[in-house]
Order: sequence, then structure tokens, then C-alpha cells
Amino acid sequence: MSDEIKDEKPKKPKVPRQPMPEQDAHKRARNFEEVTTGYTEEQALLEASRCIQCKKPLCTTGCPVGIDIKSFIGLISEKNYLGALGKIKESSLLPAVCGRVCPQEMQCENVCIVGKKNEPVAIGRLERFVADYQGKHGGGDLPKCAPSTGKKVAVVGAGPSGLTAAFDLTVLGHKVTVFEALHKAGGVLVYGIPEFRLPKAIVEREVKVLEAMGVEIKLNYVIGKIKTIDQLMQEDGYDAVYVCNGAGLPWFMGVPGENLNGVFSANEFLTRSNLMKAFDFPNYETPIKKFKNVAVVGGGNVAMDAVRTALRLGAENAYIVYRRSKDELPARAEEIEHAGHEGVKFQLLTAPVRVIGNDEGWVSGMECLQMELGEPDDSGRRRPVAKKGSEFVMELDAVIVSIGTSSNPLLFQTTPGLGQTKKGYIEVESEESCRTTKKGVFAGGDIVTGAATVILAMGAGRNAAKNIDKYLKDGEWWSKENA
Amino acid sequence: MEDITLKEIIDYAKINEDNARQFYLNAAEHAKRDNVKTFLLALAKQEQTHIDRLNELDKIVDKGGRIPKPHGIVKPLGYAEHLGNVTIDADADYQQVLKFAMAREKEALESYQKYAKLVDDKKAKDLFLLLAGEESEHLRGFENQYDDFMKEIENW
Repeated sequence: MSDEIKDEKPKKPKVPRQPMPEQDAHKRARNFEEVTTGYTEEQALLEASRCIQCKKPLCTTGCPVGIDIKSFIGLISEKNYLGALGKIKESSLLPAVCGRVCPQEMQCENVCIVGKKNEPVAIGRLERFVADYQGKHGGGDLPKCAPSTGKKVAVVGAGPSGLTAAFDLTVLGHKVTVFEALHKAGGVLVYGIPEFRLPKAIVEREVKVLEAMGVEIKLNYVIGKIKTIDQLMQEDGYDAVYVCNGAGLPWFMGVPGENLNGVFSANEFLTRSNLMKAFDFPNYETPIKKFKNVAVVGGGNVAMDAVRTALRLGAENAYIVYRRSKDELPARAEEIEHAGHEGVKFQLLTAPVRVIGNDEGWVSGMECLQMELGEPDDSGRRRPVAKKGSEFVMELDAVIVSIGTSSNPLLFQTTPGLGQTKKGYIEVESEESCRTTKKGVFAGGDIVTGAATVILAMGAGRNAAKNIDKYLKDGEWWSKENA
Repeated sequence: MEDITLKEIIDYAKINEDNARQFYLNAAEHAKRDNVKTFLLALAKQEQTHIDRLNELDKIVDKGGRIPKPHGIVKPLGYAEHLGNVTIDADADYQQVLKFAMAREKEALESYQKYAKLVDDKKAKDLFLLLAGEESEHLRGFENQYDDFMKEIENW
């Protein structure tokens, strides 16, 4: 890798990395409009000109779905924006989504050769630009699909993984039905990520493309309740099933007081606000209580979404409570920065030990312990250590728990032969093959890996589609005993 | 505290470990989640290794050999300090079982430390401290697992 970098001899770009236009922090902290407004054509062309068109580009290797980044940026430079979009779509179904929510700084941009001496090319922003260009100006054809194979595939879950798999399988000529438990397709893209980070119209647009291709999406359809996986295969004639229903069961802290009024999981809080549009009450029917002092426990992207939503709903003080330090916050740097600019307060190296309630059973505070990072252990990790006698109380009226999610046990309870890992996810032969312990049933995305990123879920959907296609042709399966 | 023999201390420790083993086996039988069942069975197996270790100490005592010196207490991360009264039932998840295991190891550690203070006999004191040291390793092991688990899930 180092040789490749030397080969490229990065030159200093003539123009600096183009900043992303965004709403003023104070203004946006109180509205739900998109924070960043996207590159203008002029900015996109300037940014594209920073790409040195490496002979051996590393950016593609940094992308979990292997987008041909060099080529699409080259096409932007030629002002062939729809061509650039087509190039991205060879590898990724949802560029408008990924251009907004992917952690590019840890992936493609992290290995960008320009970034070795200067700021990397803003790949994600360019990806978003071409996707938004099509959204505004139209154009672009539906992908061509192979002739029908006569095979039927059921996809359980209409999140990024399921949508990607449905797209690829349809292109390959299989008949796909997506079963979605909620009343809208999109999974985390519609219930989790807030409007101010990902406008829902974008997701709706992508879903419509799938439907136009012939994918059937059945909403309000809970597999495991309405029909089991076995019924889909034995009674409804599905030849294969791809399970990608995400990890939607929230973890709680397991501390006293967690059942008080005013304690939410981030899932519930964000679902109310995003999917049910509670932020726009009474125009929409679902209410959401407005709180004055809100703490969100956790430090990931979901925690940032929840705390910024709380601010927009009117909180005077919105805190991130996280047990490690700023350097270990798992959220994207950009999200942390945006949250800070908007007025979110960071209560770091802090671990809650109980939630305190008032006489009416509502949250009135949270007792926390201060933590410090210990010496590095054998793995080099500095584990947080509780400081004795450091207890203190935060005055709050709401606590939003955002420490992760696990799998819903429903599918395991209703699907004999579906193996489960120690952490409660679906057991697969490998993340590459997506083959579960039950013949004909594949799984991928968060239900296999635990909560991860949109692009990784999409990558799993792509792997699954490839392996389902192979299975539908050769019928081969694996045996755990022989693995 | 009345005089207590080394053999009695080891027997007492074995009873504690065996109670824990039986508890985990029983919990595994009732656990509704397969992954939790597997984890509980692994914990029961782990308790059996502790019993095996105590049997080794027992043999040393029988032969009049020297019990190894206490190797000190492994500093805990403090996660078990505020757990309160942790219980697990058939619906327990992985996190609850880990918390229960931490609470149990902390209780064992503290009881051995307390007994070490109560006895006058040097050998008995050392044996209690040795057992306390081993419990502190178990506690730290579970704390590390808990931290790993939190790190894994909170990347969300």
C-alpha cells in the first residue's frame, strides 16, 4: 500500500476542499430542515477538480461496496452528472442517502491519496451532489433487468440492506417481495435518521424506483406474526428468504428508575419524531412531550440524532452522557461537531447509576458516576474505570437511552433451525455468504452484525443477493458440522 | 471467629462455587433465549473449572503441601459497585446475566476478604486472600466482558 502511495506523488490541489453549505447553527437548532444544503454545481466542479485521478486509487478499496469513485468524479469534471450517478449506481443503490449519512472520513476519504498531504477530496459530498442533481432535474433510466427466472425471493425488512438486495435480485430476474413491519419502507432511514439529516422524500424516491422495477413491498407485515418464514417457503412458494429486519430491540442500562415516565429508548423517541412526524404535531396525530432538560445516554450517531432532535423539540439543555472520553465517541466527527455548534452539552466520562423520579413518577434527575480511563490493557484499550465517591446528580426531566440495540426474539421463536449467536444475532456461515443454519434462508445487516452503518447493511444486501442467486441456480448449502 | 481448618475453607468455597454452578444450570434450563441459555451453560462450565481448582488445593492440603501464596487483588473497574439487587429470570438477556455474574463475583470477593480479616491463623488468612484474589480475577474478567459488550453495542 505504501508503494502505491509513493507512486502517486500527491500534488497540492490548486483549490481547497470546498466547505459544505449549511444552515446557521442557532437557527437550525430549532427547525427540522436539512442542516447541510449541498454543493452548488460550481462547488461540485471545483471539488471534483481536486481529485488527482490516481493510477491506483485507494478510495474504492475504502468503500464497503467498492464504488468506482475515481470514475464518477471524473464524470463530474466532464459535467456528465447523470453518467456519474450511473457509475455510482453500478455499486450502490442509494447514493443520495450514502452521500449524507456514510462515515466517509473513516472509509473512502480516509485513504484518499490527496488526503495524505492535504484535506481529502470530499467524496461523500460529490456523491450527494449527483444524486440530488437527478432528484432536481430528473433523468436516468430504470436499470435493465434479466428475463424472469421464475424464482421467488422474500426479503424480510425494507431497510437499506433489504432494498439493496431487492434491487440486485430484481435485476437478476427474480421476483422479489419485501415484507416490512412498519407502515413505510426504508427502515432506519425513515424511523431512525431525522429529517434534518436525511429528508424522507429522498428515501421515498428510491423506494418508488424499486416499485417501478417490479418489486412488491408489503407494509404493516410482521414476519413471525402474520406469517412465519416456514410458511413463506412451504405455503407461499418462496424459493429463498433474506432476513434483514435489523436489530430493533433497544438495550437499556438496567439501572434503577429506568421505568419512570420520561425515560425513552432512542428508538421510540426517534420513531415518534421521525416516522410518526410528532415534531409536526398537531398536523400529524402522534404527540411528543416537550422536555426542558434532556440527557441522552450514549455517544453514537443515534445518540447525536436523539439529542439534536430533543433540542429542536424545544429542550433548553440537551446533554450527551457518555462513559468514555471525546476521543472514543463512536459518532461521526461531523455529527459531533454539528451537535456542539447547535448547543448540545457533552457530559463525558460519566456513567449513570440510577434515574431519580418525583412523587408523580416522572424523571427528576439522574445519578451518575465519574469515570476515568484506565491504563491500556493487553489489547491497548483504556477501559473506563469508575471513580470512587464521585457520584453526582444531573437535574433532568427526560432520559433517552441510546446505548445500542439487539435482535427481536420473535423470528427465533417462530423459525425452527435458525441459529443464534451468543449476543443474540442470527448465526451465519460468514458475513460474505449470508447463509444461515436454515437451508434457503439468508441473513445480513444489523441482524447479523449488530448495529452498524447504512453502507455496511447495503454491502450485506449485495452479498446476499449474489449468494441467493447462486443458491437458486445450484441449490447448494453448507453444513455447520462440516464448516 | 472460631478456628477453621484449611480444608473447611476449601469446602466452603467449593459449596459456593457449586451453588453458582447449579444456579446457572437451572437458569439455563429455564432461559427463553437460546443465546442466553448458551451463555449460562458456559458460566456453569466456568464455575466447574473453579471447583476443579479448589479440588487441586484440597489435594495439596491433604498431602500437607504448601498452598500457593495469595497473588493480590486485581483492581476492579468498579462496574459492580452500583448494581443493587440483580436477579435474572427466564426472560433475562445477555446484559442482565453479565450484571448478575459481576454482582456474584463481587459478593464472593468481599466475603473472602471479610473472612481473611476475621481469622487469626496465618495459613487460613492466606488461603482466604488467595481465594479473594481469584474471585477478583473472575470479577475483572466479567467487567472486561461487560465493557467489551458495551463498546460493541454503543457503536450505533
